[in-house]
Amino acid sequence: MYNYPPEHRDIVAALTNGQFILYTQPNYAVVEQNEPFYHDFFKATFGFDLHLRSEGYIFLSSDEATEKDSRNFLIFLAVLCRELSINGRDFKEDFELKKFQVEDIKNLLEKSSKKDLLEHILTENGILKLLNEWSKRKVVEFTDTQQTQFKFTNAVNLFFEYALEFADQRIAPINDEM
Amino acid sequence: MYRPVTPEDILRFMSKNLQGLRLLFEAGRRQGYVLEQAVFEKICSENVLDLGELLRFRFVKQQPTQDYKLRKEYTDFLAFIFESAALNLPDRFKFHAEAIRGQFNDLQQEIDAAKLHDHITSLQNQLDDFLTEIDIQTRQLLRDTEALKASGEHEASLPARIATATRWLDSFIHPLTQVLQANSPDAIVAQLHRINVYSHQKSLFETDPELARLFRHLYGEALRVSEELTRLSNQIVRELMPMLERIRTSSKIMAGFYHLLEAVRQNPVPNIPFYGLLSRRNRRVYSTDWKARADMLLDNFIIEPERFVEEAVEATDDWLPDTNHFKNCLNADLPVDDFYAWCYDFLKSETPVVTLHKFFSVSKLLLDTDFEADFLENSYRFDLELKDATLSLPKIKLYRHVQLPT
Repeated sequence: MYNYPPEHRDIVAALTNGQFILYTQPNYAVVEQNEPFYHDFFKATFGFDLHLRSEGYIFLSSDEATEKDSRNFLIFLAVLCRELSINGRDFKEDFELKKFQVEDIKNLLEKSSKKDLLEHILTENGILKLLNEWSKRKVVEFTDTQQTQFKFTNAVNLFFEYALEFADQRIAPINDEM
Repeated sequence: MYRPVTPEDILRFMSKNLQGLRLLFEAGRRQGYVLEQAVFEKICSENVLDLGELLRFRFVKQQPTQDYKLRKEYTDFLAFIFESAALNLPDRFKFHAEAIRGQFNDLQQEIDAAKLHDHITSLQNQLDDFLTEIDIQTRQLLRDTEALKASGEHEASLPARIATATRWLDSFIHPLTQVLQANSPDAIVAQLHRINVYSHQKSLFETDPELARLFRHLYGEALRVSEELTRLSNQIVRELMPMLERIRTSSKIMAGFYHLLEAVRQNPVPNIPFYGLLSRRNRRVYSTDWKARADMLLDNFIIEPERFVEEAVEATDDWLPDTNHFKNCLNADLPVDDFYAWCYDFLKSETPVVTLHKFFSVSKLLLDTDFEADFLENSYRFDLELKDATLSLPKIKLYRHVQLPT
């Protein structure tokens, strides 16, 4: 009989619930130490792929996943980064170090010329709902109990990684033509 | 009238026209210090720069193509005082490193003591040139990188930013760090170390005091250059490289986001193949009671059409013989032509199932003294089907017993 780590149940419940496990959580080390096992376990049990990123976060993915939240979050991030950049901020630095005020973010997005893409988010409490969803997934973290300010966790790097890949796909053909 | 040019004249001219010279310098900086005639004349006229003076001080010379070229001696000086330089190709550094190695070899192999002096000075100059160039380039790169970082990342500038950061990294920084790498025996640092050891020994054991002094100077120079190189190399690796990498990455992320937003704009439901994250819902690990729990949950969602089920009531036979009741009924029907048939019909109306027992409990009225039976001889018999028996019965007439008056 295989000796499961005592945290096994928590790990499986968190990951299968669409959560990220961050390196700041004790369970991260458990998965890291048993990576081959968990890799096989999730594949064999659920057909999910386990990803352990060196930036310090773990998540599951599925070929058959149909969730729509990440698309909304990507658009939100894209517009937010754009606005921060236009205002002369180093958004990567901000994401790593800064705490954001929910109200400020809302104002920033309201002024954006890409506002129309965020209509579904800029509704009453829309941003808070979005942030809430992603705080449950451990991609953002509220830093006060009133949920007025938050910061991004390392897991947000997955979205940047995606943007880099997207850029490569789009820029590469242009370079090839040159 | 020919007036000789004195150093004071040149410095005075430069200090008076510094702004105009700076513009010429900046305009030419990225183009090998060659300015097109039109650009050159425009800057001169706007800044009251006298072409005659410029030519007299040999600040510029006109090319056969009519363009103007700024002289290297001046541009080097201006680059130094403005702390602004054009980036050199990394081959320049390799060239410097090669030159240092060659001159050091020459110095070591020289047997003519009279020529040693020249070799030492030349090597010293070479070292200084090398250091100055790297120093200027690093400062320039740092400044340019800061400027690049500060320039807002607007969509239009993104490809240019990515290209610039990539070009600087690939064409300057990486080759520069290769030149400065300490772990290769050919590296400049190793070369400097050899010069150090050599000149130190020579300065101690050289009998000619003049040569000993020169070797000491060379030793000092080599020491300074290696210390400075270490500092610059640190600056490049710790500051410049991460900063450029960061600019390149952020710009690329921004470009990715830009294309993403464009994709969304063109098609509100674009096919964005994100990593296939799982949606947030409770998935339970399979366990023995999982199916039972799932079934219970699902049952709540199944709305079946209303179905009326008739209660299956067990037919209980609560029929009890009641002779008085039978008698009353029989009395009411008298006279009957066929008593047994009457019994049967009567029971049928009273109870659904006619059994032998019930039949007899009614037919025993035949023996009651209140009735008179008329047994017809030769009458036919008929069969009566009961639940549990078939009876063959004769036809009997029944009358009321009439009591004769006594």
